[in-house]
Order: sequence, then C-alpha cells, then structure tokens
Amino acid sequence: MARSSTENMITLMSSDGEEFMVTEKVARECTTIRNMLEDDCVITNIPLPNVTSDILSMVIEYCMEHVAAAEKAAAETAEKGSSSAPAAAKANKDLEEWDKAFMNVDVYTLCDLILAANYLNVSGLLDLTIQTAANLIKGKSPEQIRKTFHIQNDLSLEEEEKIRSQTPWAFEKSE
Amino acid sequence: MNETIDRLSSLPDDILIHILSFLRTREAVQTCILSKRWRNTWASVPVLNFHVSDYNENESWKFDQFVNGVLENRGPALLDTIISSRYVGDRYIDPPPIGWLHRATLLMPRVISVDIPDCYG
Repeated sequence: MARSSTENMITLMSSDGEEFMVTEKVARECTTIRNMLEDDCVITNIPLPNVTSDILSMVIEYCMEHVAAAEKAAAETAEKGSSSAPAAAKANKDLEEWDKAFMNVDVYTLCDLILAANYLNVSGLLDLTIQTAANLIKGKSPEQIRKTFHIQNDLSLEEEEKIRSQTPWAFEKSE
Repeated sequence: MNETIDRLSSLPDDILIHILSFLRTREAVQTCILSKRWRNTWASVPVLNFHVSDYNENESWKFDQFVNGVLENRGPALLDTIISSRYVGDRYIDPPPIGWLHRATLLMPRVISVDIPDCYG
C-alpha cells in the first residue's frame, strides 16, 4: 500500500515535552484533535498537556493499528469490488485479538489510558479501556476489588455496617 | 512505585460512572462499600441492568426487593436505560410485580427493555 508522500504530518507534544510525529489521518482518530484541525487547518503542532509520553505513545499505537486495519479493509474492497465476508470477519477477529493483547497492562496504566482516551476522545479506545476496567470488577467481592485496584478502605467497620444495614436489599445473598 | 497507588478512585466521577454502567446493577450497587469515594457513585449510573439470574430461582422476591431498592434510592441523575431480564437460561421467572413498570416509567428513561415470555407473544 503506497502511502502518499504529501500526507500531512502533525506533531503531538506530550506533557513531558516529547514530540510524536504522526500522519494527519492517525491524529484525526482523536476527535479532540480532529476538531482542532477543523477549526484551524494550518495547525501542525499540538501540545497535549494532559497526556504523558508513555501514555501518548500507547494511544498513537492504538490509533495507527486501527487506521491501518481500516485502510487494509478499504483496499481489499476496492480491489475485489466488494468485500469478502470471511476475510472481513477474519480481519475483525485479528483486530479484536490485537485489542485484547493491547489491554494487557497494569491497572495504573489502564486508568491513565482511560483518562487519555476520554480527553482525546478516541471512542474505540475509551470503550475498550472502560470495558476492561469493568471486567476487572465483575464477579469480584468488595475485598477482591480493593486488592485489584489498591483501594484503601477508609470506612470504619461501624460505617461499613451502617451502609449495609441501610441498604439490606443491595447485599441480599442468593445462597 | 505505581504498583500500590489507587489510580481508579482518583478518576473523575463521570468516568467511574461510565465504568459502573458496564456492569450489572447488582455489582454496581455493591461498590458502595469499597471506600468513602464509592459510597454514592452507583446512584448516578444512567443504565440499570437487572437480571433475575443473579438470584436463586425460588428467590425472585429478593430480586424484586433489589429492583425497588435501586429505583427508590438512586439519585436524581438522568436515567437513560432500564433493562429487566427475568430469564434464567430459557426459563422465565414470574412476571415483574405490578406497579414496577409504572414506577420505572416515572423515572422517564429513554429506553425500557423488558423481556416477555413467548406465551404472551
């Protein structure tokens, strides 16, 4: 696939001053940046004071992978006139697998990625990270959830008892 | 260094609420005892996702009690969706109690999704 050499490049600058050069297409995966580009089309340098370099590089990696997958699907459709369903299903599955592997991060990084995806408004990445966080809560006892996310329980035993007795319907066991 | 920091609880409310909206309501509500930060977070979740299969088959009254508890105790935040599933596998567990739907409509969600067994269809 030939990449046009005239493709616009955008420089994204992380909070710690690192510069990342990406194609405009990749940058546009972030709705926040897309809106900036639409407001001011000559902008080539975008400071992102809320995103650190290690998180920004992950966001860019995600956007590049998803742009590449979409381009590949479009190219195949153009070549064959119509997209072949099994090939498209396989491509989707591959991308899902990639997403899954991409989410193999510690909970601290996961939370930072959620914040970045929310700030940059990358809807696919936001869904993916939020779903991953929800999956880490699912099926766990309060104690297990606290352990997973290092949540300090600042409720005294009496306070916890009080909450439980005020909302007995919430903790009714089914055993 | 980062390994023992509670990053999750430091996220803004709207993100925690977004995470909880991906859970069944029973699990979302039970986060209220994680810590003070989580005490009332569940009450603003815009999606209520009730599943009778979270309870034993002969205990659907506990489920109904739970649904009422949530509807009475959730905060004033806008409600987008209520999902009520009364199937366990392919078995339908008693229709919802009378008045449930009325109460649900008063909360004016955008969507109410209720499953209805074949014999009514």
